[in-house]
Amino acid sequence: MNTSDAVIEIDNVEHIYGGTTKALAGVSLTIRRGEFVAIIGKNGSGKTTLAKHFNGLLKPTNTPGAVRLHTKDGRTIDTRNSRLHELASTVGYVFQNPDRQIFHDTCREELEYGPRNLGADDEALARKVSETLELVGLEGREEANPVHLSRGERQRLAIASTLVMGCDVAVIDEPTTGQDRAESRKILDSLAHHHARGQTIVIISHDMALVAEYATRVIAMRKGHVLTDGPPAEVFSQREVLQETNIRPPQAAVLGAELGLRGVLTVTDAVREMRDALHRSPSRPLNKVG
Amino acid sequence: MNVDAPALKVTDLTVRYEDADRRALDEVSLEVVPGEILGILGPTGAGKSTLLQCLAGVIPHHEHSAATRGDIAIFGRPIAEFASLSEITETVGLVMQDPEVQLVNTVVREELVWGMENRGIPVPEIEQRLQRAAELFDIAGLLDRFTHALSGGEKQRVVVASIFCLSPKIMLLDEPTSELDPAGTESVMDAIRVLADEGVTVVVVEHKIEELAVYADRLVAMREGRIEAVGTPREVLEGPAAQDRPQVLDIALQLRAQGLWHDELPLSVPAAVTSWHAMTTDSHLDRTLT
Repeated sequence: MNTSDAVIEIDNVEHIYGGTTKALAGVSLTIRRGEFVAIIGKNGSGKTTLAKHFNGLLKPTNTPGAVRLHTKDGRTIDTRNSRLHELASTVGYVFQNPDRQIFHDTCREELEYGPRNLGADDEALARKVSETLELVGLEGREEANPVHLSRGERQRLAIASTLVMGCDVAVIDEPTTGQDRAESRKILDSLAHHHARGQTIVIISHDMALVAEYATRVIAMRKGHVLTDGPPAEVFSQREVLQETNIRPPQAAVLGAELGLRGVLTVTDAVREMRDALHRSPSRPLNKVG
Repeated sequence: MNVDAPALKVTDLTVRYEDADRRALDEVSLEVVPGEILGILGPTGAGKSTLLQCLAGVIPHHEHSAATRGDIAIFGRPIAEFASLSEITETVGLVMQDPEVQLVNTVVREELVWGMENRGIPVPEIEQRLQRAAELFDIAGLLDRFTHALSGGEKQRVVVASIFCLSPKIMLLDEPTSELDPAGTESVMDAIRVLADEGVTVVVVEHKIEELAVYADRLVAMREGRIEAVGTPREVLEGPAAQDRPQVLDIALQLRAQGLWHDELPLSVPAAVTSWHAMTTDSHLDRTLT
């Protein structure tokens, strides 16, 4: 690991809610610039609690625990004793339920709010707002009232309002909850587009098919601990480990493993490997291959 | 109530919201068989939630901004003959998309008991139903928790359980598992299966296609206010109306298009594995590769 690439450092973090419920039980990890991280795990495994530490929405409840952010201008800040605007301009956070964060009457005002607070000038801002709306598939909806948007559209608006801030890291809690496939893809594609331009992305997701396809790193949580952490192909191949936390790899990956085919993560992989297997072994039953 | 009639019969149902540029539902006709699980699929804006709200009588009884035409009959009795929304709710229970809208009490136990008490159900029966609900929806450990402190997935299970407690003959569920992890989703779907086997009719809107493909008796695919396809999960998902498919079905369809899949199309991983082993015996291979 190249530590100079680190943007968020989680160091031995515990978090206990109300003095009793231990949601994080000593987590250490580093998010590096340019990663597309997916945090997975069952409900109550500590995913959201962990993510909320990334920009100081929550602070470690143990004294040795610390969260440090490395800003673009080369400073290191500790979330325990930093100003809110400093944290918010480094790591943006999109909540699971978009209705908890949308509060303006038009999409334009919703997107302008954050950058304006940071002193953005009008003309550049107007352009940026339109660009960002287009990126999340809400082009031309500047003057629409968010209450008239569908849930999926409001989710994309909430994501846009974070992306428009130009933060180093965008953290999105369940970006595709309650969305249809086309809409989910639209959201992930817009995140992938930002990622390709250097944006560091962290998502929390239960949609393993999308995680397998889009993430560059998967962190699986269980009972407040990191269960496993690595590239999707590596993480999803550990089926016994994942079983412990009720995570199911995508169907394509499970099928690939059941048939003894290597490196299958997506539908495209499965079709390719199954076709090759058929062509490779014309004379014997293929279930013995591999 | 005529028990030989369809649980729900929808005839030429058309709905247009005030100020909307198109019909939310456009001449929809549909019959729901008692005791079946009918899954409704479709992209955002297809009219799925509007249909459920009509079936529950929320439109037009509660939501007045929608103009409606057409007929709905509940066990043979036209919905217009029901005196009020509350009379409809004696037969039909609706679980809405956002569980927070439906949670009205501060403690989970009160939430479950509240509706039953309003109905004047005798205390011993309330106790019985409460216990069954706790078991079926795996919420025994949540009964004394504050509703506001529950996770999204827990709220969803509590809301479905609270509707179950009213013992409706028809349950309408609008994305009841959207915030649940795979294990939670499966346990809710298992509970729904148990209820359907006991004769409860279930209409469920759901984006989780891999679960729906396995649990539903029939599927309806909707798009832009119309029904595009109705049939068994295999019939609907194989056809062009399906916007999304289980990955294993996608894989099989792609291989079939290349002349490489000759067995029945699979809806689950085990089915795909079985087909693959059957197809990769020598006799099949001869046909495939010569």
